[in-house]
Amino acid sequence: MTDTVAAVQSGDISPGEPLRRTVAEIARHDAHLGAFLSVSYPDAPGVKGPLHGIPYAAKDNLCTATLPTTCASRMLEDYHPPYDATVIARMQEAGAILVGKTNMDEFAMGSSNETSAFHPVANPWRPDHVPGGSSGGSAAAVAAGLVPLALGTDTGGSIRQPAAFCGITGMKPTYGAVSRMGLVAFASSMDQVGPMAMTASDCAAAMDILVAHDPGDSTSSDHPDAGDFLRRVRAAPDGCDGLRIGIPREYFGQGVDPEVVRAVRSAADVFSELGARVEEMSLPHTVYALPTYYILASAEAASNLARFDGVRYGRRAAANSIEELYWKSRGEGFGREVQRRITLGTFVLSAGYYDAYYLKAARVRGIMAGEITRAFAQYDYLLTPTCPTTAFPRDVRTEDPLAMYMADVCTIPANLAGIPAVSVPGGLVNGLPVGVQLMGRRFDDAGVLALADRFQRATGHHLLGPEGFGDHRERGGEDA
Amino acid sequence: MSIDADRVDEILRLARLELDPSERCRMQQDLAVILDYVSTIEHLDTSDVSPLHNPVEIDENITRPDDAHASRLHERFLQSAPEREGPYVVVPRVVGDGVSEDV
Repeated sequence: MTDTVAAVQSGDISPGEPLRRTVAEIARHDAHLGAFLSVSYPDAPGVKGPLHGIPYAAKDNLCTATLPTTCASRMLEDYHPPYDATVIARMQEAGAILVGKTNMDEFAMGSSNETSAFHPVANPWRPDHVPGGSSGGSAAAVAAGLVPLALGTDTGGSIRQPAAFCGITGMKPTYGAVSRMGLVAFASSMDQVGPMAMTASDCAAAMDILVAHDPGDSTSSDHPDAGDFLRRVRAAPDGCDGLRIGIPREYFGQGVDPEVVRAVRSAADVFSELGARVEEMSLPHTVYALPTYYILASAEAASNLARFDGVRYGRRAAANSIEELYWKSRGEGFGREVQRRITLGTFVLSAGYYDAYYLKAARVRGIMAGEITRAFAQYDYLLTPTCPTTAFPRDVRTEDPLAMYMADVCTIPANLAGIPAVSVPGGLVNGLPVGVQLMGRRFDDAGVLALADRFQRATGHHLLGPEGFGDHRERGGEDA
Repeated sequence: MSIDADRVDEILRLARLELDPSERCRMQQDLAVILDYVSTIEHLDTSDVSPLHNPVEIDENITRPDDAHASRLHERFLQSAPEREGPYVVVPRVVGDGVSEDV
């Protein structure tokens, strides 16, 4: 994408050329992929700015004044927001062109894009496999070459896990780095918007636009280290001399595919060869991340989704009383997984259970965040798998919520601690992409991206693309 | 842990979710399995740990000046309403209809 930006800015290609390509690719492939929920092509190629002429897609939980915003839910099927989310407005000011809204798990609750109320998304690498979730549409659209850049959101792994399943690069920024104004809230203490693209340097170019203080989001930061990403990534040396990288052994436990372990170990070898000191270490409370997350995220969701009551916007069921209107609108409008989380969240917040579940989980979150902060006194970065497995076939986990939740076991700790984390392609296992996750200290987003970029300078995994799509990447490739 | 049907009904009432009987039964089973799993944090000693509710420590409320200004989006917000009458959102009768339960 940064090459395209340079080509537009030097006049080598016309500013309308990238958009023409995207229109053609979406027309050719999206009927099979199902990555988009709505598309719209402007006549003009955007304003002159750092991303002039670059087409991009946004997950359908980011408010857009020109396109519907459904959260892939019947509840918001016909909802047209009155305004743009801050990130959408910032992308427009930078010259990027919004071409559509991407499919997702309903209200971002899911790990396979199968809870979308509208249709599933095919993994471009293997159409009967899931693309991951919840930002599955964004990941598939980038992996298939329909757009060079997409925005996703990540509450427990929803950018990184689909990025891993689809073989692209996905970044969850530090909590507070990117404005959440205009993002439909799921779990407000963990939600972050971030970029999904082919490379770490493309993600850095997007971060230059996305990261800014926003008075419209009270958790938005004005941290001085949050900026100038692409320049810092490019300025980083090829080598990793002096960097200390920890490999927490708890991320390689039961349920992690041995082939995934092998791919992640070989990524660790790359960093060793580049001069980093790579060591196994321990984060013993990692095992509690998943239960802690499901209590806290569901509690926050139960509270946030109380706004969908059929009164001011969204679905309204036919009813004779206001109570009946609430009950029926929410019963009809929400899908099963969303109802499950609201019910769990309501339970853990209810009188008699609040201390044992919600408060207990918040204390465990304190332990885990402390443990991670202490680890960063000894290590600059942590390296883990992004997901215990590669993409799984459609329908196999939909009846078992716990099996589905396990897909997020490696990504959730970064959300609990609010730290930046990126997933980069780490090669193929049985023809499907493996994700390698890099985590860093709060507000070292540029360092995390620079480390990912060094990996991509040294390896070619990010250049591999699925068969049958565009011509912007090499085809197929060997297993890792 | 097991969770009885009355408790599930009470939670669904608090959450304002209407489910048909088969969905309610399924929810009861799912909830039992999930609560069993999340209860693994039960035995951790957290007596000397403060709860962490948000990674950002916000010491004071963040507010804007209390100045009145006209919203340019007023009409667009109203257009989202399922039913409206002029500048008002219309809902079923709330007072004196004899149907609403106590909230």
